[in-house]
Amino acid sequence: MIFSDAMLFAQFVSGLSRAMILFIMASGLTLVFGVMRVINFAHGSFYMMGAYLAFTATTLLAGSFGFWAAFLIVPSLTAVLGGVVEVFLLRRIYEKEHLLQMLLTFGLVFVFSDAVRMIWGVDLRMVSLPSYMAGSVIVLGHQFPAYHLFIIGLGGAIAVVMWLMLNRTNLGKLMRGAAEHREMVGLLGYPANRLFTIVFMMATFLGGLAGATIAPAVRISLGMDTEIIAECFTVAIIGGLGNVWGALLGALIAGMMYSFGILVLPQYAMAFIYILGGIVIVVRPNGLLGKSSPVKV
Amino acid sequence: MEFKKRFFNVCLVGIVLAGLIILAGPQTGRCEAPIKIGMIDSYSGATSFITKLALSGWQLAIDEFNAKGGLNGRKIEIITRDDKFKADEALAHARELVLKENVDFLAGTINSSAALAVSEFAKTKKKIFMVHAAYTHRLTGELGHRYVFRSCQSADIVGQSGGAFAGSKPYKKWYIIGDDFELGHSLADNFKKGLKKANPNAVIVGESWVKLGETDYTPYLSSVMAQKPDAVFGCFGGASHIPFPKQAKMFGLFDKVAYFHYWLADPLFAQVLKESYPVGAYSGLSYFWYYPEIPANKEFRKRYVDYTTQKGDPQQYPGEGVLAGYSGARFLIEAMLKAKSARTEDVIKALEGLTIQTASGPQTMRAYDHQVLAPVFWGQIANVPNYPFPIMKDIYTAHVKEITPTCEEIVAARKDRK
Repeated sequence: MIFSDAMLFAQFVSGLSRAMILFIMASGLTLVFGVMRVINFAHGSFYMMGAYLAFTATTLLAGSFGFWAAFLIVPSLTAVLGGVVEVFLLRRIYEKEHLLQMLLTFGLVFVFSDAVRMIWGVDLRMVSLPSYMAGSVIVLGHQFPAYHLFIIGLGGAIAVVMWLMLNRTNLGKLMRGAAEHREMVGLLGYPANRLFTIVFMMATFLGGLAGATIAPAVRISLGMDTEIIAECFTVAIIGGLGNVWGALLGALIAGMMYSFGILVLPQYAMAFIYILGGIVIVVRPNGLLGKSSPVKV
Repeated sequence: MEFKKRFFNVCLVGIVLAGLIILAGPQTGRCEAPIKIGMIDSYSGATSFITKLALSGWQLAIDEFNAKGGLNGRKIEIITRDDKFKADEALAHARELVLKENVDFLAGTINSSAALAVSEFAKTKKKIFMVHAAYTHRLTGELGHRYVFRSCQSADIVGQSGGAFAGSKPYKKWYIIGDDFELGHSLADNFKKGLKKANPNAVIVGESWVKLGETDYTPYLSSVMAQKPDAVFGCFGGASHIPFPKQAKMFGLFDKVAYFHYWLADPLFAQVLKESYPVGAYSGLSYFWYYPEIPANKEFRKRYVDYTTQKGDPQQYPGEGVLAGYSGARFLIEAMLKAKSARTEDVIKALEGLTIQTASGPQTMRAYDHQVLAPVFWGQIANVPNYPFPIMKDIYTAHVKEITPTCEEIVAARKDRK
């Protein structure tokens, strides 16, 4: 089969928008692992929570204003929720074995899922886009959804902010330090607890943001938490768990493999990324960008 | 005097009481165990907004039946179970309903694979299974048997009528996109058959099959758009009716190509999709609350609105699911009344060939394959004055008798399997 340039370009842009959602999600996951050494299965729950909160926010604050307000309010709410989870639950088990942490975050998946069911019920929920975002724009002679271009821009902006934060701020230095030597943070006279709370809130902010971003494009439903989490972990593992740039690379690979995969073998498009994930685990257990020993942020 | 009067009063009360007891006696004696229907459907998850409506159709018919005194005083009780859109859960519930709850009939489900699983179980247990929302043609086709009945359309009727309708339009290059599961393929195969018959010049230039549960159609849509077809047939089920049109609208698909998609005409989607609802696209359905304009339809809608209002969940615009649920219940009820029995074998005999009058016209349960024969409508989504949301215009009624596979075809399909 021969593909035209136009088609390849269309798939590239499609893949990019998919990659950006995955990146926003996976960067949160990887941040928590890198700094706190916690594998947060519940990360998808914050994503789902973000989507449902976006529904409520846009319903309460109607119109274009409500839509953009949701982008600010919703991630802040999931971050506060994340803060509560960190202070009251996670903090109690840092010293315990990893298995307990996994059990806790895994348990939270069910708690959040039932909470969402209780609050929002099983009825259909939809978020509408402002009319100027609902249509398509022409990019290099190709029609493309305006909203997906917005997603691509947002993903890029998050990457830039993340780079500035990690490289240009004290907090970022602390986080990178914590990733190298956890004890060092305490020795420097900074309360590790506070750092962990901040990091966890950042991650849940990103999770909520990803959920709020995807909400207008899809159908919001129970189960969207677990649908994304497996792909997210694969992305983080391919890039190197704990490495933010790895998450970006992994997300780009996943997005492109999916988008170009459906041109070649549509039935298996989804499988490619998991196969690659498996290969990476065997050949390069620390991921493409992971260093041999300590996990980098 | 005083004593006599009191004695008289006591006697009077006694007589009245005795009379009441005598009157009530046979009644309570006759009031046997209820007729139980075990309803398995996806009440949580992405399709619950559809199954809930179908259930309200069942309940309306059952409440009407119970209010009229039931079958010699036996009333119908409906027991619901949530299969979470999973075939294995549906089967587990079917087992529990038959073995523990001792239900008289099984009913359900929206998931085609789940319906096939429960159907096989119903066959071994010799229980009637009334299907009201699963559309795979195999259910009453090659995998059909004595105990399975269907009160909704089948994918071969939907697909072929869609193909015939699409073939009457001047589009040559067709693209097919759908959910990669039982229903999607079943619709596509039959659509192709109908299209080829109606327009031999039509060609399928490509197909895309989306993994079930995937809600991001972006890369599929970009590849469809890049192929530049004249028209697209979307074969989606359950939960996909919402995200696909939404994203297709974002891509401007509806401005560029003619789009055909059964079920999209359901008032449910017009209300939910709002500005993303593709006005100008073609769709089909087997029931509209505004068409056909017959008294039975107006009267049904009124009963439905009153009923849901009374239940505290007012619904104004019944769609296909509501009628399929209502018809499923009505078929069982009419068959029981005709047979004067709720025993499986008697009800099957009464059901075969039974015709009921419904809001969309008469419906007949075909004796051979137990598939309901009911009209299918296709048309174009349009803004029509005085309606609360876009509805269908230029409605074409498919000739069901010509589209439904003949009994001979079904005999052949079942033989091929063996």
